[in-house]
Amino acid sequence: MLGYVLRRLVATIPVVIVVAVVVFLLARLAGDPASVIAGENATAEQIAQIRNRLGLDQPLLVQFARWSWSIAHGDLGVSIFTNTPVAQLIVQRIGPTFSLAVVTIVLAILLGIPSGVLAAVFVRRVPDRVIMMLAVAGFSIPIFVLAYLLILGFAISWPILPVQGYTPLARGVLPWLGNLILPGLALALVYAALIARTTRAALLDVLAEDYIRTARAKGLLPREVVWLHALKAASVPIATVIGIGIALLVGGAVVIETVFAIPGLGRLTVDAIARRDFPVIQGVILLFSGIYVLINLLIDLSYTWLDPRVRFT
Amino acid sequence: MTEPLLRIDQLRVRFDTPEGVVHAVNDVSFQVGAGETLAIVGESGCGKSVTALSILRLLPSPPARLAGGSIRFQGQELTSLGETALRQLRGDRIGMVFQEPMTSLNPVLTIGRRLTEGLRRHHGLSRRAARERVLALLERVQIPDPSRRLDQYPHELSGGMRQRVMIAIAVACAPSLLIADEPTTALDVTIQAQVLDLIGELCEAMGTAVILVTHDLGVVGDVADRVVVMYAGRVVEDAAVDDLFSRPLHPYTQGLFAARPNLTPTVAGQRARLTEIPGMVPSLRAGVTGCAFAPRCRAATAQCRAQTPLLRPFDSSGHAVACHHAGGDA
Repeated sequence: MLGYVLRRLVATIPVVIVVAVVVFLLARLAGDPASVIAGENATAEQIAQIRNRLGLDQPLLVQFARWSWSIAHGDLGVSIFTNTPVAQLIVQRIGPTFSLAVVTIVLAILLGIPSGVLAAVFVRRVPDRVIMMLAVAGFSIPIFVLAYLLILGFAISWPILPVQGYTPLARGVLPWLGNLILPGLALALVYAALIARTTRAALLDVLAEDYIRTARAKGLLPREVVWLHALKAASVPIATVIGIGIALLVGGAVVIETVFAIPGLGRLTVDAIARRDFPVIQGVILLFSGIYVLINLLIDLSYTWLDPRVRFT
Repeated sequence: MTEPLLRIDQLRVRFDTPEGVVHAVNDVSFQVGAGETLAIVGESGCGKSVTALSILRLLPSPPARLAGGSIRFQGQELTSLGETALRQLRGDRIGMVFQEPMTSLNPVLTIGRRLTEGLRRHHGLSRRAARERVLALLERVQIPDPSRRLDQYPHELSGGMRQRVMIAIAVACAPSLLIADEPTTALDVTIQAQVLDLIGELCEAMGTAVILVTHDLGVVGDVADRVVVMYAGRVVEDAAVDDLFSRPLHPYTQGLFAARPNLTPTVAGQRARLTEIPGMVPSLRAGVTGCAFAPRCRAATAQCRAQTPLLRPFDSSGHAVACHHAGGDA
């Protein structure tokens, strides 16, 4: 087991290298940061000066080698716009994004799994039809539309929650949660729909299994059969889809943090792209891909706990 | 005459499928006395498993539907019983063993979990008390090293061992009736006899009656007291086991015996060559008119094709048969 984890971690190294190359090239594609920094009326000479200061006049290979060298030493570089170390920027912004992710995932699970179970138990009947219709809606409505609808409903027409902003957890759980419920909900509905559909499908497969009949023949209550016997057996695909959801969250977070004015990593990324602040872009995306790889590993490890037949050696 | 443990009368089960209604079980009647072992015999699709499963209402519904008849267990009508009351019977007074030990045990739960569940539900035992009882039970079903097995998962056990666990689950609450649906079909031939012996021993010790659903006549001869032969959703013959083996009356039963390899011939002219019953089992989609076996029967007459033979007592010994020509001009 430990050997497996170590091998998986080692296997992430090539992934990280490939990601680093792609991120590096993508950031270059965004355009020349020197002309942005210099402003609209800058002369060609001024721009060339800035390019020289940032090392942008060096060949790409040299630039990449320098960047990788510093990354290998744990240095993500310095923002070329604010002159703040990238690592420091990330630390400042990670709290809100992490909070948003936690609230979103919890909401998505709390909404998705019970609806999926309900749909499976009442398959092809009214509750199933209604839940599956809502799931399709959840997939189809763009996140930002949903976000504005929620703001309109719960912050303006019926003002029980703040329109936007972020309060750190340190200032109390309720204010923190109050600010995160609407963005979390807007983001969670897509994943809840995904989780509900997967739960329904996995549970339907399991409910048709012989061992469910065995459980019923033992005289167990229907809820014991469904929630203990069936759901545990159906948990591997559900865990997979929850994990994918966490990984996909990053894209949604960019949109939601902009709509709700949450000072998180998503906003940091958007701002950095607009300014062509490539050390920041590179740093954040590298972090995201690291998290992605780690979450995938955690999901794979959760299988051993969920399904005793899975053993990694 | 006292009421038997289980009495099934004119049971009808239908399956509503998109292609039409399947008449899976038609007017099936039989009884099981306390402590008796009844075998239900027939080929695949004859309705024997459907009959067994409908006793505890374990068929998926829809498509399955009870279309008539009565199931009385210990004087209580089961067909009209509410789901809650029925659930109290399941696993407590009526235990079930299923065909496939590979798929009938939940792969993600431990053996101990499954075994203690029923006891804790029906007898309100504590976790520890249930565990004690279950350890003794596993010893009785001859599972070596039971305390280690309790924390294991089904895939860590062999097929025979799993079926022993299934039996342990089924008899955990000392039921009055054990329904075993082809309990040995999926097992190795060498293990089949052991498992059957185990069921026999346990049930004899507890005074439990057994309904054994099987297509294996060899099994029947070894363990059953009475035999019900089914064909195309109907009972065609019902007799004490010795009576059936020495004097099968229905042409279908005779055909079954003739189709057994290495058996003393009961049909004239039987050689070492394997005899089969010609033709196919009829589709149960449309209601069959006449005797369902008539198209395959050498003795079939116009009457057989026109009129469905009813199960009627043949003699005073309780041997009953559903054939117009049984015993006499067959």
